[in-house]
Amino acid sequence: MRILARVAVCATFGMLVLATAARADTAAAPTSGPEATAAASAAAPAAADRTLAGDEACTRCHDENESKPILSIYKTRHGVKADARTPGCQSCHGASLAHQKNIGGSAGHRTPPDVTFGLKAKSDSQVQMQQCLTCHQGGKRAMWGGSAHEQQNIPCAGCHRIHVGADPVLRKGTQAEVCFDCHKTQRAQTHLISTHPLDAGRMACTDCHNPHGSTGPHNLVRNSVNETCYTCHAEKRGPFLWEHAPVTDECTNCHTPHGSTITPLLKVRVPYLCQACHSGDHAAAINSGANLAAGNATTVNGALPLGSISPRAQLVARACLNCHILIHGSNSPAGSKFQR
Amino acid sequence: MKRTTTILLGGLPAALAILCSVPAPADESNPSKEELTTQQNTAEVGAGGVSRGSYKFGEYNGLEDHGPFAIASFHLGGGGAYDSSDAARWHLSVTDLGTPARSADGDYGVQGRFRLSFKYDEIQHNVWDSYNSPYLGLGGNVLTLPSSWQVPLVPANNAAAANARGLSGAVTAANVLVGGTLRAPSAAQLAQAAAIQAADLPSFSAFDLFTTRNRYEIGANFLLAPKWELSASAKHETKTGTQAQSTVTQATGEVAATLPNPIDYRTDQVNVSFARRSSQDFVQFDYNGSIFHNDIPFLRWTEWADLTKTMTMSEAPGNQMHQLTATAGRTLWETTRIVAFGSWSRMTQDESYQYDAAQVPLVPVSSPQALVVDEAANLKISSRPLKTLSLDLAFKYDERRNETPVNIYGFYDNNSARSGTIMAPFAAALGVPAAQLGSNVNINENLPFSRKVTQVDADGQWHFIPGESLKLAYEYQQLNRWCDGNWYSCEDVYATKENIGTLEWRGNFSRVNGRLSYSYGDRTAGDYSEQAFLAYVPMANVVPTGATLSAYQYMLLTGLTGYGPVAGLPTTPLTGNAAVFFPNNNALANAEYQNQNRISELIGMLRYYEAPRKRSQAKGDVDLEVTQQVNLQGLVEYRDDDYYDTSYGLFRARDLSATLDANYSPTGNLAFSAFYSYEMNRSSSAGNSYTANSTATNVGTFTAISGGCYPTIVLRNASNKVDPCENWSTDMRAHTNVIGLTVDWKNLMHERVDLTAQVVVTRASTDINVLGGSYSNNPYAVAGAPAGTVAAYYIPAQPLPTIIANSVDARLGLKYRLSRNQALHLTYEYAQLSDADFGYQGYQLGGASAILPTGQFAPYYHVQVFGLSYVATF
Repeated sequence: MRILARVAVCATFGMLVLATAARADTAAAPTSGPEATAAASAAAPAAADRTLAGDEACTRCHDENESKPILSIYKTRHGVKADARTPGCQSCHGASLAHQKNIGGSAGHRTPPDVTFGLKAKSDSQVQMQQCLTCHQGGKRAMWGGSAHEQQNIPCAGCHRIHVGADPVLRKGTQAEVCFDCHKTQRAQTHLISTHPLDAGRMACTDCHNPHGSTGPHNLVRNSVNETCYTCHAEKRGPFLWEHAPVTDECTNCHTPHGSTITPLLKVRVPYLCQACHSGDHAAAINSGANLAAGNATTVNGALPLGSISPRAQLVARACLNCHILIHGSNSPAGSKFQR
Repeated sequence: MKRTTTILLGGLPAALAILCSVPAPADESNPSKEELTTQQNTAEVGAGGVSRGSYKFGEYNGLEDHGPFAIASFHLGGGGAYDSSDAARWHLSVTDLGTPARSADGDYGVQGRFRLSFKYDEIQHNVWDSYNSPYLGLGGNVLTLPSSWQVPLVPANNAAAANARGLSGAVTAANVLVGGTLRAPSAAQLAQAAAIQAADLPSFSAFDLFTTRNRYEIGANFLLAPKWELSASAKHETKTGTQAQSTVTQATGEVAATLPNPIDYRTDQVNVSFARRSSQDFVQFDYNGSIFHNDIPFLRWTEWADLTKTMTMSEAPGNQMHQLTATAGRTLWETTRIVAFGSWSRMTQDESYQYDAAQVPLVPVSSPQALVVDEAANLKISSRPLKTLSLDLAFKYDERRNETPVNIYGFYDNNSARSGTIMAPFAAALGVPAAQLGSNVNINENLPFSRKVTQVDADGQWHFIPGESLKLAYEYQQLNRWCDGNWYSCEDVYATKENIGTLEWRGNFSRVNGRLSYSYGDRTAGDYSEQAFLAYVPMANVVPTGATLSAYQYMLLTGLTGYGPVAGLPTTPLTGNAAVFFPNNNALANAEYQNQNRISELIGMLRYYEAPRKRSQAKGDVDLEVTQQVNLQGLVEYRDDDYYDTSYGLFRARDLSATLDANYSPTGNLAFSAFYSYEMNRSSSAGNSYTANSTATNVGTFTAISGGCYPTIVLRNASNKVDPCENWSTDMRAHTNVIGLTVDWKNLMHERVDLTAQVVVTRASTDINVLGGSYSNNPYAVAGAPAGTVAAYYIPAQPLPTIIANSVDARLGLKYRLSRNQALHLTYEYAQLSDADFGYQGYQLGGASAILPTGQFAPYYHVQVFGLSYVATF
């Protein structure tokens, strides 16, 4: 632990030194191009006119005839001009003088605005992010820096659609489709026989994940996997008198949350899941097809009639959980074996 | 419904054909500026029908019943115009009013000042509609059997022992092996069985298991000053209904029954947040509270196998969680940002114990006074010192400290009543009269598990040339586990340490984006303790009658674990402490630590979540823009977890997934997309079904074994503990294939029609291969059998039947615009599921002798759903 603390302190110090040394470099970095203009816009806010008059520089051309509904932004919170905080077109896209006058462009290829947004936009994703973070600091974005999506250079507009009246990623019924654009394994898992109600549209990815980064693993909304699960499954929170160690440790030791072929969202079928950790007493026994009602007849010497006419209870129905019924924890003084 | 289906299938296309022949209305053109900038109201009303009821199909979507349902949703919104001085906005949305999956939300606010909001969400979770039970009072928490109930038996087999298979006429009429002879049941036995079945079977009735969750939420948000914000929200959630709950009884043989467990939960959550935010920094304080209350403290039922007994199961206890958090972030310079987070939580639970007094003779306190304190801290620094370089450093600490008092509890197993008298030294150690506790009592100590995570992440990403970057990441994680207050350390491993390195290449070119990454992790686990089970059993630290040391002291002295010597029957009888604790070289005798089950593990059984592990992960993806109209995406992921020190338990797990997506958009109005996903999850585990060494020499005077590792009973029994033929292993492979096709076609037929169609086909199978085998005594090996009869057979393991779950889900959506503001919306869905799973054998009549049949079967359905609705926008 002491070594760890030293490493952390040294690494922190090193980064700060590096960052300090880079200040001059950064300050001088963008001297031309859209980023430079954006940086200039940020440095000199007056250049960005956030009033309707300023917007008119854009909406003169980007009117109701646009194939994309640019003007729909006025239906959204970004369009309430009576709120002093509301941005204008140029607040986000930069003053974009070159775009307005088509300096450096041609009739067929107009010079783009200073800052354009989206996964495939010309503007650097860090520049895009910074435009949004100017206002959207803290809250759910508190851990954005260094988060998985930030590191992958996914800009805000990679998921959010700012100009539409209802951003699909903010609606429970349509959010998963946005996430599944990249998270394709999880998309397939939601079609398996045991799932959370994502495909039914009754749950959103953000019920568990904060895509902007979090203090928990896998961008979970809470500090840990269990804390996240307990937001809906509070009955499993306990603390119980008799805790089951892997449950307390992490729910995903046994469950896979996006979908499974084994109900309820199990990683491995019981009894084999239990036998991954237990080898004492009756957990030592083998469970094979020979232990099923119709599977016991074959021996090395041929047929053995009526050997075990009842399937092994640890193999069928709920298997081990037929008897160890409160596997998430028991509050009975007789519950150390999770049976009461 | 079949007629309705025919009418819909035949009539709707005809109606659509007529409608589509109508030219586009005159007002069809680009939307007006007012439409684009003003909140639009929409309302949808209509009706639909479900061709066949299915709980599984309607598991979450509210469409479990056959027949019609209403379609009703609306969205209303308003407030000041975007260009006015009025910043007030409001909205009210209600969706799926006609189903039990309805929801509503709304808000009112003056942007920049305050916002008030509410949400309502209802969801019905269908659990089983093929469940049957003989119990009375279903839905309540006290279940009884009808007075006519008779304990089921198979009289020809055993006229006294409860046997759930006795409810099946086919079983009770079948020949049974008695004394080595296959005999038909006698007339009296058949009559007895028929009488039991006549008394019991009519008692079974169907009972649907489902839960309904209602969630109410209100929120308020105030902008106190330009940078200061106060938010508060409260959520009240109720969950009622019944869930399937397996229960186990006190009857001899420990039999089980699935019962409807009544659910009556209330959860209240409160969040208050106070924040200051500027473009450069923020600070935020939060309070989160969650109070869970269960109105049903216990489930009590009469036992189906012994009507003289009732059993009590403790339900989920009410509990509370209160959490304070503080988060602050600051942009140090333009390129570097630091964020710090700290939280403190307190979780408590002190519900009174619910139990059957006769079964639990030692209860030192009436409630657990359970307390867990969680402290967490995070520090993150992210820096972009150069345009081509990004650096991130994170430190995380999370300690869950369980401060629940440790006490010693005594109870009898489900299948046993008190007998004998506890050893005097144990009684003395417990401070109870020796006569108070039977010799078959379990004396266990609760283990309050604590856990601490310490983690450091350092990432660097270098854009070495435009469009390409390399990322190097390192993660160190240390996990400590312990219990406070137990007489012996409860943890298998106190500290696991893992080092993970990742190298990733990313390329971003004009038409191709791609990524390749490889990650390797090595987790070490220090000394794995195979003695952690001792923490449960405090009597292992007391010298039992007949010994001079305690079990713990003896193991410490000899270096043995609870498994005992790795040896067969000793050549000369053991004496002294060895004979007391490890008689015949067998595992530690249960009686010597006062527990009715052997809870020690095999040597080499390392629990996978804390065992040494080497993890390799590789990932690659590519996004190719073939043309402006065609896009291809591919993704492959592979993970291999090798628990290299593990001999028993899960020793290897591998996952492979691959996905191919293709999108084709020939015009702006038409798009096709298709995907195929394959996933394989493979887990390999091992065990040993060893039994106790013994001196037994024959089975019904016969001695020869057919198969296995030993030719005779005496040789096998002398090596029961170390017989290599008792080793077994499993290889479980789950394969899933998912194929999806989507067509999105807009502005068809004079720009009146939008069409979407989607088909998803899933094929999932799980194969479980088992290697090894087990011995089974020959039921014909009885006195009087012919000479040369085999005493026992070694039965090789067999693979389990393949588990299959196949589904098809096809959805069609058609929107027909009557005018700019009116449309008809037609939806059709065909869904099919077929499932084959051997596990359901245990629920069937005549299935398992120890499980009361409930008739639950694997879900399957063929369902069609139609919907026709009118949508108005105003």
